[in-house]
Amino acid sequence: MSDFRRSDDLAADEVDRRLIAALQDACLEPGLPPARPELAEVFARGVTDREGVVPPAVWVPDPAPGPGPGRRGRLAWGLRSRAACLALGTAVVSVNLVGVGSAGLLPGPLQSGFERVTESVGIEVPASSTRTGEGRTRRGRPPASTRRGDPRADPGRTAGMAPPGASGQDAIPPAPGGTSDGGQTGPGVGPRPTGPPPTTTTSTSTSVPGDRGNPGPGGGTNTPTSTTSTTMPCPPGSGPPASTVPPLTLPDGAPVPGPGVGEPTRPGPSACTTTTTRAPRQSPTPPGRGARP
Amino acid sequence: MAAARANAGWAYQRLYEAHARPVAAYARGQGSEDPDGLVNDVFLRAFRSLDRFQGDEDGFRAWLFVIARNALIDERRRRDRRPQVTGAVALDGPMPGGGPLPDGAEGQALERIGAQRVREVLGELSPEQRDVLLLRIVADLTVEQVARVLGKQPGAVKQLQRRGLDALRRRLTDEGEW
Repeated sequence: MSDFRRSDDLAADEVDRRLIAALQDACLEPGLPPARPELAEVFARGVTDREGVVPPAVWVPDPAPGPGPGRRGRLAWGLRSRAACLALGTAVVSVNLVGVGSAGLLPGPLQSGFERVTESVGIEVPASSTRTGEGRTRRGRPPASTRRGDPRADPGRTAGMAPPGASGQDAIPPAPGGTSDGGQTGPGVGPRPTGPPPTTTTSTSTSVPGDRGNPGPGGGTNTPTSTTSTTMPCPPGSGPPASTVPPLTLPDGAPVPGPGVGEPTRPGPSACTTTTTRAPRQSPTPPGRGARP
Repeated sequence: MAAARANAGWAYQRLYEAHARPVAAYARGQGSEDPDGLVNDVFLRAFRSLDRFQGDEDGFRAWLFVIARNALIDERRRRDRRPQVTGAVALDGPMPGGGPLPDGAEGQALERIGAQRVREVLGELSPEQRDVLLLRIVADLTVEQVARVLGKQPGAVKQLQRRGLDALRRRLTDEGEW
């Protein structure tokens, strides 16, 4: 501070120069301000505690976390980010695929494959073949009524977990949080639309007065029943292919009518009938939903 | 600067000796209640944060005034929270930090009164004009450095210093001192 060359250009004339000199004299005092003990300790031993209080005007930000400097660091970072993006995309696609498949909205071959896979691992998927309101399922199978005498039967919905094409005489809507057929949850729970069952069997149900069955809200006209047999689809390849099964006809030769107006279907000659009664299965399905044997 | 970055105590002391006086003058011109204490505070903050500073000693000088300006703002806030007896700027009494008058030195006393009057007039300027004049004249920063410290454009700094100097000149010449 011996000279003030930087402010020399400020003085336009002699008065300015005197003014600047007076200002410097008014503020500058001879001698250094005394260093207090804390600062004197810094002079003696250096700074022992760093802190991060820096004015923002000249603050140099810390380097951003991430790749280290250099080409290899950037390359590694790029690869990691690509792998992360790929993994994220795969996860999103998988979740979407499973969700759509669980809803039964995949295209026909994909859905059937999805159902086979899920069946093999023991997960039940609502039948996609019942998602129709036009008399034909998405797979081309004509749905059949599941409720005898119940005009409210809605074949376009599958509330139960019946397999595609399964038939049942008793349409017992699922009771919230409970079982419907005598404490046994089975595939017959819920309004089950049934189509011509070339590969399925019928379930024999008996109405027992005073049974513990719970018709539930929106239930059919049937009394609570106790299902004594279960219905299973034939394993793949055990029965005739769906495309080769002749159209199902009633005993009098008339074709099976459309949904909601037909009679209960009967097992075909190639149906796989199991008459075993199974105990409720310990499965991860939520309570109130039918567990598939 | 390199030695100071290496946490050498003697380097800190050298930096203090080189820059403490203008910082104290700046604090005094801004009406600080305790210029010496503020200088200590400024240098402690600077030394503790030196690892985040990048630049040469010239930049370090400008950085010191940024810290000093922030410290002054903090001091004014603390002062405003306290109950006040006089106005914000003690124009009638001796300027804070002026120190006691030397005994028996009439010439020095007169000189001190002249300096005191200059500081009073400086306190009557707008804060921006006072900032620019002190940083340019007392701290001896360039226009660009002042612009960075204040966050303004260099053209605005030049305009402020010209207007501030004109106001200072007008007030003092009206009193017949110049």
